[in-house]
Amino acid sequence: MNLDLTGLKGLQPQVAQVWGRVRLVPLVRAQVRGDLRIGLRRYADQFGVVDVGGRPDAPSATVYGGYIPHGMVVGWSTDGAEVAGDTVLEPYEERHPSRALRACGVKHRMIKRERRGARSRLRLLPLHVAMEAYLGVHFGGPDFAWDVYSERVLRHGLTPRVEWITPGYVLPDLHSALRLFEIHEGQCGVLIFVGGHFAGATVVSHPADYRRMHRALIDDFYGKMLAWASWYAPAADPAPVRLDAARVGDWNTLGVELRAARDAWAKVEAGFADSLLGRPANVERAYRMKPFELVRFDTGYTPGEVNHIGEAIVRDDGTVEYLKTYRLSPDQAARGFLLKHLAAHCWQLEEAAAARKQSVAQLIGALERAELAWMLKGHIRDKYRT
Amino acid sequence: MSTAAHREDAAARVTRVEREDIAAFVTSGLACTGQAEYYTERIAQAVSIAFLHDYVRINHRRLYARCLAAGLNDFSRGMMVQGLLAAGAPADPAQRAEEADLIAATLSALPPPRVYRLFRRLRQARVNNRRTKATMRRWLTGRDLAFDALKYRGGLKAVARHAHLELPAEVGRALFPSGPRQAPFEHPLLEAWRQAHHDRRRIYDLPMTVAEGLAARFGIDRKTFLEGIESKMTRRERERVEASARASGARLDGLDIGRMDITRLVLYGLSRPAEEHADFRAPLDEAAARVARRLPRLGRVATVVDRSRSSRGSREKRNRPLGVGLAVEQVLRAATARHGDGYSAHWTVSPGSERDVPLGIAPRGQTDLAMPLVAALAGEPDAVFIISDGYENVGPGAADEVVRIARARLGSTAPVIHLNPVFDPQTYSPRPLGLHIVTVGVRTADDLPLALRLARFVEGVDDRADFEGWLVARGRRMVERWRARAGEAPR
Repeated sequence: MNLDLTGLKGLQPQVAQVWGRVRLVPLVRAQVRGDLRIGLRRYADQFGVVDVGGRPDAPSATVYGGYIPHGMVVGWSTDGAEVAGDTVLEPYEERHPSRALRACGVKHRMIKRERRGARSRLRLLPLHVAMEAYLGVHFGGPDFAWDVYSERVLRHGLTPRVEWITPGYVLPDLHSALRLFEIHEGQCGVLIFVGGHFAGATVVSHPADYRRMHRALIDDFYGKMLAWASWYAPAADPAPVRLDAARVGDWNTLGVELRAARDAWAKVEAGFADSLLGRPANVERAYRMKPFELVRFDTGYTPGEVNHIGEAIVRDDGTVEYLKTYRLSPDQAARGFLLKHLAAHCWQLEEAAAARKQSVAQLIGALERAELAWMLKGHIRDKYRT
Repeated sequence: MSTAAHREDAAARVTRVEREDIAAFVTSGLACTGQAEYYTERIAQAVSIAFLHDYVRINHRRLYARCLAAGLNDFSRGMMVQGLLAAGAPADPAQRAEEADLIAATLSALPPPRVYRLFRRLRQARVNNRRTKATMRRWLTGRDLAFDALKYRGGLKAVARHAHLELPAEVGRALFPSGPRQAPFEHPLLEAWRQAHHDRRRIYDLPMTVAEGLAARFGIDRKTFLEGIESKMTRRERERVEASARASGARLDGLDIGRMDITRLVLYGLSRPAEEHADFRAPLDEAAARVARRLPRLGRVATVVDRSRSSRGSREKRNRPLGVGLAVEQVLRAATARHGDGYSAHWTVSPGSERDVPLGIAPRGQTDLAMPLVAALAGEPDAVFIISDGYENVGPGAADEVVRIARARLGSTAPVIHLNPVFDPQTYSPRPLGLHIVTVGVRTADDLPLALRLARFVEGVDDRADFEGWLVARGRRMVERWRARAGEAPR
């Protein structure tokens, strides 16, 4: 699997628009092909439940519940022919797993193929595709039944696995920033910065789809720490443009200089998103729809770094046609890291601690800070605490 | 530094700061209407403009009063009269007389609803000095009180209570009835009004806004009502009911678009579907030519029009910044064509084709003023006009930087004038683009000749004395015209 986000092929960052603590970097697509369109489907309820296991007729025990205000509908053509924009606008009736669950709006699967006649589309729940993968990290619990682990985690795994997120409308400046933002001609995406922190990227394939999607950005969810940043981080005014007068000889060069200064500045601003765009990601294929591929990825759960999870639709030539990312807050990254780290060392505390040059007490301290210490038996925690 | 040089320096600084204050005030007075704008809410506008008025009135009282003649918009003039009356009369008799004349002349030029609103605000603020009462009486002597008692019932009532007016008996009875049943009036309009409460045929003899309420009481449907009241509509009322007349299917005479001013015409045209746009071509040209005739010869002109998303304005000022931009563009086009000078228009996002200008243009895209400005300056015109709300968001300050370098390196001498239809509460002025560009507020394209005159002062071509001289002359003409109209003898 390859997913190359470096420089976001085919997308040109533009100078950011700033409102309060929010900075929005527009991404403009040079070539719009039109063979993949993305529409938005609003749900009546903000809270949604997704059956992520079973078949439509036989509901499973694994259920994903959360803040799901909208879904996305993807229409595409396999032969490169243009897809009409209204393919993805027409609402479909969602089929629920069973009659009994229909009443509470249970959706079947994160990614679901919808067929009506000859046309077929994909319905996916934005960000939740990625979030599901993150929550599913060693969801089943330890693979080895060491006696330090509690009965509960050995028998039932990590369920219920809960993470906190912040809906966009809670961030104070974001609403104004999105409302007042002037969408560029040909704009297909945006990088969102809150209080100087990179919050996430959104990319779609077509400018008309972006116009619809732009307003839904307020309903997406963001990491917990961005709520803090949106209240307390210092607001920075955009830097004024400066040109080098000595390099201007005629009207033509003035225009060239201006464009160059802007491109350079846009590059600098997009560079602040390097934690996502400058790093290889662990990619997992979620759905294949020729010539596209829906993947989910994470940039690793490294403590002390900025970590993202996300989902993308990539064309076979590597063009990113759809992208949505979520920035994990530090504690979320720590949870992902510790689970993976323990698993890598066969869930043995001593080995795992030694690999980090730590004592077991320190490792347990880290688990406690990451709110994972409940996995261990109480007396083990007490033993190492003293 | 010697003391003399220091004093010199301080004096120069005072002069500069004064000029900046006054320039900010005058240009804001052209643009600001106290309504919500795209980027700022109503409350921010109100707080900021109120401060600016207080500041200038307290520091430059005489000049502030003289600015009543500067041709500022109705909102600003209303605020100025309110402020002057609330502050009490100045001690100097000459200044007092000058102010009183200017206030009276201003009030006579303002639309009556605005004057009544102003009087009610004075009442709310508990301003009831002798001058205020006298001003109210003086203004009301020129009014048809029976008519006002119906159409501006709340306003006249408030003034009557506040200024202890002696009203004609029947008007007083109409305003302050002593019981639910009214005896017949001798005044035909008041009698029609009395009868209209029980006779639905009489409502069509009343002013439209009065009739509208009674029509609702009788449950008359919109179509019948509009067709019946058509002869009583004022021109603005006719414009206002256009949409509801279409919706209800009422057959009214078409709007007289030949008489609309260019900005209104553009805004109305923008609200109509594309198939009708061709009908606007000739009236637009005529309206543009009317303003163009009042302009001096400008030489070759290039315009940069901001049609970015923010030019859609707010819910209260739908499309106003765009409408002003398009109207000014049309006027400048007409003005250069009159003298056979060159003209070119440049856009933040270029329109599909020339045919789309002006009514096919919708507010969209980012605000990139610098690129079109390079193109505009490259044609080496004699003057460049930018019409924009001043929120550059593809790198702020780029337009200013372009002008700086064009002057320093490319020998460009053309003045660059920025006409801004939006008041920015943060800078207490229409948002400027930078040091090398002169920013003047503007509310309609008809303000253009005035804006050009003010630009000279803002830029520093005229000093304060020149500007005040111009204001005094304008004020004198305004007072004379008012005297001639009202038949008042000069004092």
